Amino acid sequence: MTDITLHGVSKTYDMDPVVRDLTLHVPAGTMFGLLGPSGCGKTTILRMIAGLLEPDCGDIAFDGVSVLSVPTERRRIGMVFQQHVLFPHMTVEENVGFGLRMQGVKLRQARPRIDEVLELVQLGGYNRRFPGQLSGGQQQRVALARAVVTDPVVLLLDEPLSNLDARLRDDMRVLIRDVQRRLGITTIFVTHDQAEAIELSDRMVVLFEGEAAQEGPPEEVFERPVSSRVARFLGSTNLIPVQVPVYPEEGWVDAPFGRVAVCCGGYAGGSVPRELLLSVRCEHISLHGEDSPGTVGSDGINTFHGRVLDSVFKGGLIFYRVDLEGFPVDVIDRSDRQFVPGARVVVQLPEQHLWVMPAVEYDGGPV
Amino acid sequence: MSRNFFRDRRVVIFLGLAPAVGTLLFLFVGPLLVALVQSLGHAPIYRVHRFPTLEFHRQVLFSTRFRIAAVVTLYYALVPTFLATLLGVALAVTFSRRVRGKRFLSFFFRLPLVVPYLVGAAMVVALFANGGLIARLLYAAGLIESTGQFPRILFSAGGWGIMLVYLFKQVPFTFIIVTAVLSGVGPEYEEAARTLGASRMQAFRFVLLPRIMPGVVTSSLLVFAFNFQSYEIPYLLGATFPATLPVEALRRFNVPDLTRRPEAMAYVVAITVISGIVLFAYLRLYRRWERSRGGVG
Ligand SMILES: Nc1ncnc2c1ncn2[C@@H]1O[C@H](COP(=O)(O)OP(=O)(O)OP(=O)(O)O)[C@@H](O)[C@H]1O
Ligand SMILES: [Mg+2]
Repeated sequence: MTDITLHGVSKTYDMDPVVRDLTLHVPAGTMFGLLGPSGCGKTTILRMIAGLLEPDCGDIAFDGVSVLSVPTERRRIGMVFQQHVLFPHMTVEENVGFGLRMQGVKLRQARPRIDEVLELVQLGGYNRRFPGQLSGGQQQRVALARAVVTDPVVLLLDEPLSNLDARLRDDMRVLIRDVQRRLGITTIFVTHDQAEAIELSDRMVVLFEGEAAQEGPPEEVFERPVSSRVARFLGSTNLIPVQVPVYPEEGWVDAPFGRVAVCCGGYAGGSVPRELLLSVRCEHISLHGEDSPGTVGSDGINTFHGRVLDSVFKGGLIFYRVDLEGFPVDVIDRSDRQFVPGARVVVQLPEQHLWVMPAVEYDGGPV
Repeated sequence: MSRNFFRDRRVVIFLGLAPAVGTLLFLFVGPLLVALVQSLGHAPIYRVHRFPTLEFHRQVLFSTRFRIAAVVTLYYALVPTFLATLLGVALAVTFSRRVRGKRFLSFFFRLPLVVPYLVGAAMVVALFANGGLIARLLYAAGLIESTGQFPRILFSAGGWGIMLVYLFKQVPFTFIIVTAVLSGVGPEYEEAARTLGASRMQAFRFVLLPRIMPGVVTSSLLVFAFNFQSYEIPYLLGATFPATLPVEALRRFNVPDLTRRPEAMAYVVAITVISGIVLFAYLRLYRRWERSRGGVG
C-alpha cells in the first residue's frame, strides 16, 4: 500500500492561481475525498498527482519518494476522468484490456482478467460493444474497470458517480468501496455529493480556491466545520448567530430564541469573541409534538417551543422549517409522523451535536 | 408516374441536388469527356477525323519519354506527400499537447498557406539557386570556394526544388487539417492512455492515430492529387529532361501542329487514369487496414 503526500504544491494557469500551497497527506490504503465547489482545483490536483500536469512548486511523493520526475505511465496509477474518456474505436474489452496490453499481455491471455473486472462492475457480457453503444452510466463503469484492471497502487476518481441514477449510484458506491478495500488501493476521489463523501471516505478535505479549508474524517468535518464557509458549503446546516452572555457562564450562549447549552467550540483558546455562530446539522435536531412532552429529555435542556412553517416530504425524509421566536430553523426528520404547517412543536438541540465557531473568518474577512 | 413520385424523399433529394451535381458534371466530367473523345481521334476543329482510334494513346504510352515522365511524376508527387504527411502529423500532435508558445508557433506554421505556390517557387529560387542566398552565405562563411560549388538543387532530375515548394505549402496544410481533427479528439485521450501505462509513442499509435487517420488519409489524398497533376512548379523548377506528365502534356499543347492535339489529350487522359488508380488503391488499402482493426464505423 502506498501513501501520498503533497507538500506545498501550487499551480498557476496564466497568472491565475488554481492550487495554492497545498499540503495533504493521504494515508496508505485510505479512501480520501476531495470536496469543493466547481472550479476550486480538484481536477487540477488529480492531474498533478497523475503526472499529467507539473506543479509550479512543491513536491508530490508516493511512499515518501518524490514522483515528480516519474512519467505518468510509470506511476502505477489508475484514473477515471470526469468525462470518462473511453477510446471510441475500441470495444469494451479492448478498452478494459488496454492497460494490460501496454504491459505486453495479449488480448487472449488478458480475457479472464477482463471478464473478472467487467463482472465486478456488473457489465459481464458487454465485451464486444463499442463505447458509443453504452449508456453514460455503463461507460462510467467501463472506465472504472479499465482503471483497476492493472492493479494500480493509486486510484484517482474524478466524480466517478456523477452520471448514474440513484440506485446504480448506491450500487457503485458499494462497489468502489469494495474494490478499494479488497485491493487496498490508496484512492482519491472527487465528489460534489456530501452523502457520497460521508459514506465513501475515510478522510476528506474541503477545498476553496485551491486551498485546503479543512481536512479530517468526514464526521468531524461535517459536525465541526472550522468556518461558516465550510459549514455553508456542506449544506443542511443551521447557522445561528449567538452571543456570549454579558455575565459569561461556562458552556452557555444566547441564541435569538433563548439560552443554549453547548459543550464544544471551534475557536482556539485566548479571548473568546462575543459574536459567535452556532452550527447544528438539520438531521441532528429532533422534533416532538407539544402534546407529548414525555418524549423530551427530562431536564428540558435545549428544548424550545416553535411553530412549523413548512414541511416537505422527500425520499423518506421530512424537511421542516420551524419558527423559533421569529428565527427559522431547518430540520430533517426521519420519523413517520408528519407535522402540518402551523402545528406547535418542541424542538430539541442535542448538546453533543452543537458546535460553536467565530462569526468572522480568521483572516478577518466577512462571513 | 404516380402522385407519390414527388413525395419520395430520394426523388426530392435528387431534384434538390440536381443543379449542383449538374454544374459539377458540366465543369469537370465534361472537359474530361472532351479530352477522351479527342484523344480517340475525334477532333474536327483540329481537322482530325479518325475516331475511333487508339493510335494516339499507343503513340504516347509506348514512348520511353512517357514512361520516364510517369515515374518522375509519381516520384515528385509521392515523396513530398509522404514527408508532408509525416511532418504535418508530427507537428500537429506535438502542438495539440499543452505546450508553451504554441499560439505563436502555430500561427507561424500556417503562414505559408496564404502564400501562393508561385511565390513559394520564387522563394525557393532565391534561397537555393546556385547564386541564391544560402549559396552566398556558405561562400561568405568560407565553406565553399565559389557559389558555383553549391550543389545543384533546382532544375535537376532529383526534383529537390519542386519537392521543397510542395513541402513548404503542404506541411502547413497537413498540419492544419490534422490539428482540426485532433482538436475534436482532445488531449484527454492521450492522457487516459498514459495513465494506463502507455508511453507517448504508444499513446499516439494506439489511441491518437486511429482517431485522426481519416483526416490524415484525406489530407494526403488531396496533397497527392495536387502534386501529381500540377504543372506550374515542375515547369518552373524542374529539369528540361526528365519532365513530369503535366509538363509533357503542356509541351504538346504548345506545338504549332494542331493535328498533334489528340496526343496532348492522350496525356491528359493518362494523367487522370494514373492518379485515379493510385488514389483508388490507397483508399482500398486504408479501408482494409481499418477493417483489420475491427472496423468502427
Ligand atoms: N488548461 C487550463 N488552462 C487554464 N485554466 C484552466 C485549465 N484547466 C483548468 N483551468 C482553471 O483552473 C480552475 C480549476 O479547474 P479544475 O478543473 O481543477 O476545477 P474542478 O475543481 O475540477 O471543477 P469541477 O468541479 O467543475 O470539475 C478553473 O478556474 C479552471 O477554469
Ligand atoms: Mg473537475
